[in-house]
Amino acid sequence: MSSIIGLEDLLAACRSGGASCLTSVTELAPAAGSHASVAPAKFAVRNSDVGTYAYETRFDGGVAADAVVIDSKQSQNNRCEQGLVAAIVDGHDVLSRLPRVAVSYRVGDRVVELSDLELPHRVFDGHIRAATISGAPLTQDERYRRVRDAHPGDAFALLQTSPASLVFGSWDSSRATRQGRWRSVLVGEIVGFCSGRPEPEGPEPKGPELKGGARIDPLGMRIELTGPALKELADRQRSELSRGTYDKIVKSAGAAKGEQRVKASPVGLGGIPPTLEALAGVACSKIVRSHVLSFAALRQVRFGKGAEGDAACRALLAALALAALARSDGELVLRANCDLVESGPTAVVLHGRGGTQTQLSALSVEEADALLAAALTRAEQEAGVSWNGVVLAVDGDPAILAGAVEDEAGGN
Amino acid sequence: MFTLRATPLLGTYRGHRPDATPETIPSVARLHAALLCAAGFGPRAVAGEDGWVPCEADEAALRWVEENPPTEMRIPQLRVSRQDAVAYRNDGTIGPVGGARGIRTLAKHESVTAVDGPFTWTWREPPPEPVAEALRALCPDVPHLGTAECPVTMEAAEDDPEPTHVLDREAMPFSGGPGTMLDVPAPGRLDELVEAHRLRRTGRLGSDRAGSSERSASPVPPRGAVRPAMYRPAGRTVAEVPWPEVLLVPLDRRIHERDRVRWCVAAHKALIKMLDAAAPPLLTGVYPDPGTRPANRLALQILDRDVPARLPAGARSALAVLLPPAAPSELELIYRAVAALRNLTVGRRRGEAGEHARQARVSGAVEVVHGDALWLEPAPGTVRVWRSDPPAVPDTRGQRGWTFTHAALLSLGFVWQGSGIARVHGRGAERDHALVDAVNAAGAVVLRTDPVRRSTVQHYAHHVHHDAVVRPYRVALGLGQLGGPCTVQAIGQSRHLGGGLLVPLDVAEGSPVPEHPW
Repeated sequence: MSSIIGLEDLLAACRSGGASCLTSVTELAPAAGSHASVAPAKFAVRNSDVGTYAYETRFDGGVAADAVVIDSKQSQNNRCEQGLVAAIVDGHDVLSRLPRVAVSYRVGDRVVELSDLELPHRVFDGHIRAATISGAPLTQDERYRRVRDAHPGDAFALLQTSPASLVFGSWDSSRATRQGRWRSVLVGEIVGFCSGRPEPEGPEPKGPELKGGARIDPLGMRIELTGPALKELADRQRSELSRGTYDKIVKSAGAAKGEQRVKASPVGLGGIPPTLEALAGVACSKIVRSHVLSFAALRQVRFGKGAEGDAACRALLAALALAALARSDGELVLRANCDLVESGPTAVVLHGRGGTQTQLSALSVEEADALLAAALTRAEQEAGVSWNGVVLAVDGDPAILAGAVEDEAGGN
Repeated sequence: MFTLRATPLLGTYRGHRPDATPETIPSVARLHAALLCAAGFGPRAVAGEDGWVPCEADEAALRWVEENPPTEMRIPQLRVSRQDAVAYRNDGTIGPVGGARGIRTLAKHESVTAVDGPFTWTWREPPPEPVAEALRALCPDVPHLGTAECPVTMEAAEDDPEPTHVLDREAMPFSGGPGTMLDVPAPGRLDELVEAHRLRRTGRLGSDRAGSSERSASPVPPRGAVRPAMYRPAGRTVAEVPWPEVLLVPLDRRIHERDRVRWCVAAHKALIKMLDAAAPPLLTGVYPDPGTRPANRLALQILDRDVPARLPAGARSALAVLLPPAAPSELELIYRAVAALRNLTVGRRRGEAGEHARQARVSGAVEVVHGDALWLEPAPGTVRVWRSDPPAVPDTRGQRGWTFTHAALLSLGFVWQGSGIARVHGRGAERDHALVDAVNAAGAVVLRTDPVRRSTVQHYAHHVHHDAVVRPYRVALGLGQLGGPCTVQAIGQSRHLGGGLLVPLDVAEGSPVPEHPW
């Protein structure tokens, strides 16, 4: 039986001459059985209201085959981060100490807080760069300047402030020079091998398979209200409705004169007849989840702590990535109609020098957490790392809050 | 012999050329940059005046690569997917939203290349041992090639990976001929990249405050010390096939079977217009002495992206320019004209949709392949037969009692006479029967024919004589010894302008050919 990766393995991989990477590959299957279809990630199509799936060609055993992206690299990394956020909310011993930058907005009576684990560009995200701290621009704060000026030759400030930016990648893209460009050291995806991809354009267009949808209102398929009644209903729900929906309802109510009645469907009343308009699932002959943790990428980052100290810092980041991956892999919750199960054990391989490969067992969440705790202790001893939770709590720019539109132009 | 091998761990490669078009194959310049990145940031780097820099041994090794591009490459099977799916992503920068500040949302559109195995770069003459040692040590510190989404394991080896491509040191950008043009580092590349990095690390910041409207500032890496180099398919000589070379021009739209003749006529006109009086007979079909007219001239065909051929990256279809054997001076004119094509436009048809339906844009660089290597190999366990796509049109009215079977065999005879079969002399029925006999002797066999029963024959014949009866037909056939499983062929009267292309039809061993394989 193969062993699990330990701290000494991580440290060896993070030193000069260490392994190239660690791969983790799992075959998945629809929970309901091989006959069931799954709902892949849905994407927009340029200049179209109809969504689509991302189809690609992939080689499977040397044969080119159609494949659909069930979960992209970005989405997989976001799921890893969500796992960390959930552990922090639960008060996890070690992960609660994870340094982060958190920006807060006051929305009415509520305070909305977003951290670099939730913002797409992490510590360099526009929300953070535009924020203030004690009334002064964050970009003038010495602590944040040290983060922005971190570079592969010395990334200690970033490790102490936003390690998620080093693990999941970040890019200070609007800065004229000295941009922080950090690739994600953990990448991965879930793809499903399928056949018969749709052809939305071309000589003989074949659109995606669609499924029917309908809504039944037990009171009646058609519920109509007078204009004033509909407006009053909309006013009562105004705080729950988007600006666009509210305006549409008011306009519709205003068009009904006297006792004239209009459909109440905009407020979710009445039935909807069956129509074929939603994307159907995709039947996959094989579903594969793959991740690569790159020690080569980690070795390109230094922390100014000497060979052993730097290796300890890198091992800490690797352990953080593995703790996040264990959480993401441990919860196969992707989206509705995409319930998956593992159809075999996860194949974990450490790719060493000269083509050597060491088979390992996948880490459970508990094992990954123990590894992270050990790596943090080692980094504290060897490199003076100090993780104490939120490092910078900053105030969001109200102008950005005002500019946030409720109805996105597109999404996925 | 010394080889560097990169194995993509997720089975994909993603990269972009400087013009933002997809890069299908990691170039030598990209390999050099990845090695430099490992040397400059990895554990072998040493402290310099402005930070970490490559050690002396690595610097010497990288300079050696600049002077000595790899002599051979092994490029695995590739398939490029261009996605219609658009992911809208928070850009992380600030932009105006309804007059206020907001976080910008941008569309992300991607293409990806599926890769079946490792890429290798080989030097037939191994480098000096210190260089080899440095490269050996650097390889495991290369995390990815192209984007970070393409992690690789890299290693050095002394084995012979059997190259698919060989460096042609004499080739120039307009040399033409089958091959893959790749960027290679020129002497000075290391200094150029190191200096660019130094400037980015030490340049003036300007205002560091978040503005009301930001743009991603992503400087394009310098390219002063990069040059193109041609890697030719290995172990190949010019094959004795009707069209030994094919230029593949990627197009940004697909073209229906019934429109392919029309689009090819438009491409033909465009090429002639570009060359004007210099257009050679090879292109115009007008030979000063009809007696010297070869069996085939330049042919234009449209390849749909669903056919089993490797189209240029991101292409929805491709204009295939089939070149017969010809003088280098004539071929060079064609290379130049094809390289200058930017878009194609066809005339309006009654009831046809708007302007966009009549235009196709050239969507990337022209690629050149051997005429006996256009089609992908048949899958194991299948037998390759062929179908006409679009339908073919008989070359002659035929002889008494002739069927479409005779017409197809005769058309094959016209295509192959003088190369695959002996040149036939005589006229009329005597010549036609001799050609059919020769093609039969070569093992060609017609499996199915099916007339096209519609009156719009203009879809399949570019020139219809007022008094002639044109009868397009579909055909499935086996080609015997007429070419190999990957040879490009087209038959019939319109074979030079979009008609009668023979597309592979792979049938499981022991299974009959389908009744209607079209």
